[in-house]
Amino acid sequence: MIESHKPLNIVEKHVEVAFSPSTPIGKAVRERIFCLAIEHGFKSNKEFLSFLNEVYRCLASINLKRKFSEKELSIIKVQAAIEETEKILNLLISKIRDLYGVHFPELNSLVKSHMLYAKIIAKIGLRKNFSEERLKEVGVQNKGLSSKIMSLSRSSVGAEIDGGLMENIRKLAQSWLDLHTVLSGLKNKLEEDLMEVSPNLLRIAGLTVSAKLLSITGGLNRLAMLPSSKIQVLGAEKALYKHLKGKGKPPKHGVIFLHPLVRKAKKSDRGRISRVLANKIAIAARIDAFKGENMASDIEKSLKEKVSRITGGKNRNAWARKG
Amino acid sequence: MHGLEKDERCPNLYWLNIKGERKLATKNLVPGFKSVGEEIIKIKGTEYRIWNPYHSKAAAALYNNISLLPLKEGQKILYLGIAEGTTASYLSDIIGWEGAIFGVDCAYKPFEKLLGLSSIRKNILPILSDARNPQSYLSLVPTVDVIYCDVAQPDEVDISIWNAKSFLRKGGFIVTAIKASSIDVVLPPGKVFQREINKYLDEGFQVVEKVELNPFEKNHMMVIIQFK
Ligand SMILES: C[S@@+](CC[C@H](N)C(=O)[O-])C[C@H]1O[C@@H](n2cnc3c(N)ncnc32)[C@H](O)[C@@H]1O
Repeated sequence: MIESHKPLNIVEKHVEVAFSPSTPIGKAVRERIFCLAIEHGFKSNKEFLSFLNEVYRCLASINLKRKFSEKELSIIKVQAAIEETEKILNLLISKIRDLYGVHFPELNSLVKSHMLYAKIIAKIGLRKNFSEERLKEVGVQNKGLSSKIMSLSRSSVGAEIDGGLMENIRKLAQSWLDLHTVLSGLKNKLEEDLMEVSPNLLRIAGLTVSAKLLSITGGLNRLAMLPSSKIQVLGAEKALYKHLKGKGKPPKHGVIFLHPLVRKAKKSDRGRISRVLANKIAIAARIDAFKGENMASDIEKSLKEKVSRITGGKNRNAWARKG
Repeated sequence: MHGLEKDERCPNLYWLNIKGERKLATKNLVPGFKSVGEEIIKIKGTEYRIWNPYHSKAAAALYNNISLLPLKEGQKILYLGIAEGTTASYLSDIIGWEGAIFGVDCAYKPFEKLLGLSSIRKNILPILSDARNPQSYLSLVPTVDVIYCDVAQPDEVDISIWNAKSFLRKGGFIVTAIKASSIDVVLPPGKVFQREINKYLDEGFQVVEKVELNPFEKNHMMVIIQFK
């Protein structure tokens, strides 16, 4: 049943019919298609069903492939949005720290976590509103830290600021928190999509590295075709060209430097670890692209063994899945 | 042994007595094939597949004494939101080799499993499309006897009506699982059900039966609608 307007064409017992499904003849055929099939050569309903079944599964597989590449595109776009959002968040928090620092400069070095800092400002505000109870409410769990903040809030060298300015700083901090929620939403979406498109890669490379690798290469199939030596330096093109021109050392690792296994390793181990990691990433990507089985546990196990052979078993805690 | 009792509401539908517990089951259309997590009981050489009311809303409706599930052997069904085909596999037992299920879903993850299932159960024909756009599968779906709708979307009832207009024969049925919480979380479920049912009435459909699916599914209602 294909949309076109060729005339009827009778070949032996088989009838080739072309019509548009919404016309009256189309409607008539759609009402009687199972009878027509039997009248025109199919031996039984079951035989006709088997034929239809092949066709529908074939069509669905083609559509599935198309949908799949849409998902990959979404991954690349969402990753780009995440990177921009992170940049904005960093810029914004440094402005907030700057502004609020006028009033309470000591807090800047006491509270390193941006999230906690923003919460303190958004929910408590002026120094005179500080209390251990309210600090606990916004998530300062550590008693020592809490009493330190309290005592410094009393003895701070910061200036008084007026309520209007404080209100604006507070709103900025709230905006920062809201934007951070958006970021988490984007990351969840990214993880969901990666879980569907490349579960093995996701498990081995983590969220950020997986998404960046797919972005740089333009998709899973292309990533899966690359040798691991190339994967190892993806994202370090600048350093590579510099080296080829005779300036500087060859790069040991590109995007995969962001992986905790590499980042947290001793400097002298990083080259070897990133080579092993690139190797496993290549395997994971190929399984995702060509086999579609979930073999992440096996790959992960062998990766861990290789890494601990390099580090002499000292790097065990560096393994964190989400990067 | 297992007491075996025919359920006259549908073909190939039975109740088995297993260790004092009555369980719904269908006669397996493709003996020898068993999906993951599925329980099969063999009696005198015939396989019966236990149909879990917690996994399938159609089974829940049968447990809750729905008087009619409009399914007969040889019927053509348009299934909206077929997902992995859990429920559809039982409907496939019921309608047999003379029937066909045209199964629509737009999500790509469950669809891979559905493709596997339909290669074994050849009376399930998979269609990867958006049920909100019946025109996109107009050339793939003939006139059908029943539309089974379980998309769990806020506009579920509208979706089933649009599809009925393109595909349902006169006298045919719509079976819709209405999930109150996916339509309106504020309004009490009873009010939501009434409002959704009214949509069918406004369009000239007839309400044949409605059954709530407690305790198997919370705040769900199965409605049987006829197109006169
Ligand atoms: C509650 S699940 C169906 C479970 C299934 N009926 C069963 O009992 O085995 C809902 C399904 O509807 C699908 N769905 C949601 N919106 C859809 C749409 N617009 N078109 C097609 N399928 C849709 C979802 O992908 C999901 O698989």
